[in-house]
Amino acid sequence: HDRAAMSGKKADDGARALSGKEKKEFDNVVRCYETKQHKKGLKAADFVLKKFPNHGETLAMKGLILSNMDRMEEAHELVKLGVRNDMKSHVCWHVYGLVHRADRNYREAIKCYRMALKLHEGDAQILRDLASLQIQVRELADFTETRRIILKDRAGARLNWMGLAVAKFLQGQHRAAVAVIEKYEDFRAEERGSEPNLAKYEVSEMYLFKAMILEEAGAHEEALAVLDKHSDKLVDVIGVLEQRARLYTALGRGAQAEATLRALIAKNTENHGYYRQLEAVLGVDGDVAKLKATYDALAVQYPKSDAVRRLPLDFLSGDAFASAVRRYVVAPIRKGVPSLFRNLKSLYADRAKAAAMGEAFAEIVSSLESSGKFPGSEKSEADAAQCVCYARTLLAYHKDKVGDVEGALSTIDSAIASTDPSVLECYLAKASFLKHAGDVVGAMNVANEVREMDRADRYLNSYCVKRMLRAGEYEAAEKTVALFTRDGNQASNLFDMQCAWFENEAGRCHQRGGRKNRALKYFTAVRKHYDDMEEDQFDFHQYCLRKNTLRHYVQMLRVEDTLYSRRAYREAARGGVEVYLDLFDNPLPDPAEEEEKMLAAMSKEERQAYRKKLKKAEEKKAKDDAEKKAREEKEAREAEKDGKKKNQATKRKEDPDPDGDELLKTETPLVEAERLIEPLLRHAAAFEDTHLLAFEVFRRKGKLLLALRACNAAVRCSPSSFAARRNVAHLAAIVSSSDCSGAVKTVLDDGVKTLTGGATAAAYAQALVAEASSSLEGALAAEAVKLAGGDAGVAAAKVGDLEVPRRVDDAIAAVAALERVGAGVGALIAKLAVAFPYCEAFGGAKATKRA
Amino acid sequence: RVPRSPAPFGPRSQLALRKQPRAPSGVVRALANPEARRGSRRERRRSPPTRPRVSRLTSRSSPTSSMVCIRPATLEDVWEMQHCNLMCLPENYQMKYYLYHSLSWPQLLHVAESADGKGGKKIVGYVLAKLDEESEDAHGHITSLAVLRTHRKLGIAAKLMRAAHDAMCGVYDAKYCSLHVRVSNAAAIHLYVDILGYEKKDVEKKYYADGEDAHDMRKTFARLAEEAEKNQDANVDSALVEELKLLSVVG
Repeated sequence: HDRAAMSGKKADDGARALSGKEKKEFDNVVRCYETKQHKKGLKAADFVLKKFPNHGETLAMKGLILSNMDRMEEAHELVKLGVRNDMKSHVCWHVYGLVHRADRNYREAIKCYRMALKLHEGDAQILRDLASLQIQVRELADFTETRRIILKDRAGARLNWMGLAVAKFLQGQHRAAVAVIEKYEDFRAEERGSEPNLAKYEVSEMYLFKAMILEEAGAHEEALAVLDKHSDKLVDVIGVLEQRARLYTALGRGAQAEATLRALIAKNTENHGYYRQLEAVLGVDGDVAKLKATYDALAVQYPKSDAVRRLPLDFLSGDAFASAVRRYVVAPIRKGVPSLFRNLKSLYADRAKAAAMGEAFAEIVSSLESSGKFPGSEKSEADAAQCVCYARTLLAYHKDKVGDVEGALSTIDSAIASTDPSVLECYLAKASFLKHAGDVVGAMNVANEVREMDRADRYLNSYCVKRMLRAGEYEAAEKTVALFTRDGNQASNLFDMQCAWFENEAGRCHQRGGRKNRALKYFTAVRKHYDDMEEDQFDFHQYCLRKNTLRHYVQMLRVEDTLYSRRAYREAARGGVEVYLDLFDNPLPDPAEEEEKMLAAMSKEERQAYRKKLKKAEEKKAKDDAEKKAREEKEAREAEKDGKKKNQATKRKEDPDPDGDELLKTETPLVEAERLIEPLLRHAAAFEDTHLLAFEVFRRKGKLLLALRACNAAVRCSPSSFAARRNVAHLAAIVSSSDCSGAVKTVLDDGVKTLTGGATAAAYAQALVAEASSSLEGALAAEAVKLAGGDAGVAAAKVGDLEVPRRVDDAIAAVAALERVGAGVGALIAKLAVAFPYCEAFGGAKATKRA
Repeated sequence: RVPRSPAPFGPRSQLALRKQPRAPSGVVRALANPEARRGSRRERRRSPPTRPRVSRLTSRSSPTSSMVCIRPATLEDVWEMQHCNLMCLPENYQMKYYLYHSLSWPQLLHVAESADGKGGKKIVGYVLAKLDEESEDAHGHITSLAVLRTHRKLGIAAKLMRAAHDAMCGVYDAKYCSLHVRVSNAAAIHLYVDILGYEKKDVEKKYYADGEDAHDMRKTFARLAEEAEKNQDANVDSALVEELKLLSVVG
């Protein structure tokens, strides 16, 4: 056949065109792959290969099926072999691309797809797949080009027009994007002589996408015109009103903006955003009298709305605030709303308001206690006990917030005692007060107590687990969390469900406990979730074009572009990097060497006993393995017997490294750390922490230019940060003693000089010491002195005299910094033990003892 | 011919039969989609069931005041929705399942947002809903509803549900909304039946993984429209009604 002849020297059966039975079987392979009938597909492939063992496309397809069965190594080998045997086959190249894509190796996949397209120009399926890959890696120009080709070939389908519009829009070519949509409108009008024949929702979304593009382009009038012109076709009523409000506001059409916002408020009286926008539109921002009048009027209109009563508390002050807050808390106390304090918490930024609230709450409590009435009220409360309970809880929260630990604890105890049975939420409040005071064990005990009161409530379970992990009780925590996971198999279920909060808490708990393996295991799990979430976009590139949910698709792309800046990932990355740095600084002892040392220290008998024990353990392991294998085989046979129909509920692969021991054995901890940093630098550059961590990694790797960049970025993020400036001192010291030369040296010297203002490392660090006012700042400054090569003893000794941080976590961080300095720790802890008498970490006298 | 990716859309022939695109692959139906109605009962039992659940909703408390912001969810919110779900419900889903809802029926998802006390915002409740487009009469379905225990007694669940209902009939012309609830979950049943006007249609035996039965409930939307009118009459003064009318003339 001519195809076989074309492929030249591999003219045997590698590139042969199949016919007859083999051709049918090959088609069957493709079909089986598409319908996920892997086993059948393999069988069919083997049938073809029996006759033509080198047939490239069959080999490639077989590899592709294996890749879907998680047999990646074999898959790659087969596909590569397939490509080699039939270099001119676009199918082989396409399959090669699919396998790379399954490996999430998008860029390699793109190369393969391009080869495939060269061999088979205009293949619709390959073009579509290529477009998805290009947008996945945000190759916007290439994506647009591919979308253009697709549209050229298939102008009949709406989604191809929308695909190009999205591409142009993402490239920032708003006008071009709108033009594409309008062309489509014309095209359909010509074709059908009427409106596009689409589902109502899809039409609506198309026009709204157009309006969104125009709005983002700053063409507000035009955007509005789109909304007006198609108003009868737009089904997203709320979305349209919200956009109108924005557009009217931007255009300075105050009356219409106001009417629209009022209409939105009528639809949803609890969306705070509407009120904020209304304030801006009315120009009452900052004019308290006008603001008050506005909200008073709204309160008449919507007597049931919480927002109209809560929001004025933000701008009122003095007596007006005091009386408003008194009025405000009555209904929630009466009703027993547990989140009342959280709702007021933001007001504590204002000291005067904090004081006013303290007074008000105390008065309410004493009035309810003595008369069963709210102050100034004639009416006795129907459920006075409950009112007392919630009023006391509110007062307790207040005391906790202003740092009165004793008062908070005694008040919450009285709240707990005021009803029978007690209100569970009071216990949660108490646990949080103990947590703030640093009494991790006490907090855990209270959390466990309340968990026991309602074992069916997962929130109480989760809260308790968190407290257990903070207290270092990981075994209890792991047992407790498993009460709510299916099959009680917590490890796999929590991982499958991407339960990042637990994994981060558990990771930190193990990290604190020095169990680096288990810490790494958990942090790595979170990393895996985020990689999966990044991959999750892939299928939606096509899907959203079909669904026409384009506005939200664009939102999704934007959110995914900052994916790794989410707190859960930042925490995991921080934990992971810290453990890897620790591993780099304190390498694990070589096990063989360790054993030798141990043996050398033993007596002859001990040695014999030890060897015997080892041998026994080995035998036992061999036996266990054999049994396990036999069991698995038996299960597999039985599963086969059970019939093919049974949805291959793919048996869960056992985790080969459940405790992270393998992770711990890494020979390149800095490379691993860098892998965690990389997405942070991409997505989370606005966070100081990112650059503090990056600095630590890069300086250890000797990448001083990158370390300089990290220093600069950290200082930019928070110019007065002591941690960032400690790193500056450190870098200055490193650079001054570094032996690099030439251009690099010049850049480094200039960079450091800019950062330090020309001061030496030692002088810069001393300036930090002079500036420090809290013990955390002082400890970091002392560390800077040490890192700058000086004697930090004096600076460290003074840390205990500085202002004690308000938060326990900051105090603990100060101690950690001094521990790195190696001086002044005892004095600081003695001071902190007095300041935080409930804190276990400082040996506080009132801290709950462990059972 | 070039092989097509097996998922999400399968072979063309199958695709041609469908009016709507299917869920993206990896939205493992058995695992993540409890309402995969095609699944066998056995399969369904294994899968995490929907369990809208609001407990401790005492009959005394009227769902009126709310100290949190209720608003349509954005794509940004789905991570926090997952977190909220993991904190308080035993039935959990992977992120892709939330994305799937959010990118299929974006107007149906709503969140309750509160200050987190650290200067930021926090999602304290959500409703995750979908549209069943495969059956003859398009209808909504509540996949999951949760409110953090710390934010109960505020009527958040009812507000979230109403917002989802509004969007179901307003945006998608849904005729009714369905949901499943544990027969033992009295508080949630109270919310659905007494406050939101659901009716018990059926009992699905052993619907849940632990063998518990589920009420199959349904709320038809004709009544919702009346209710909304009634609410509006109570809430909106006449001048505003005029404004509204004006607006709907404009757009």
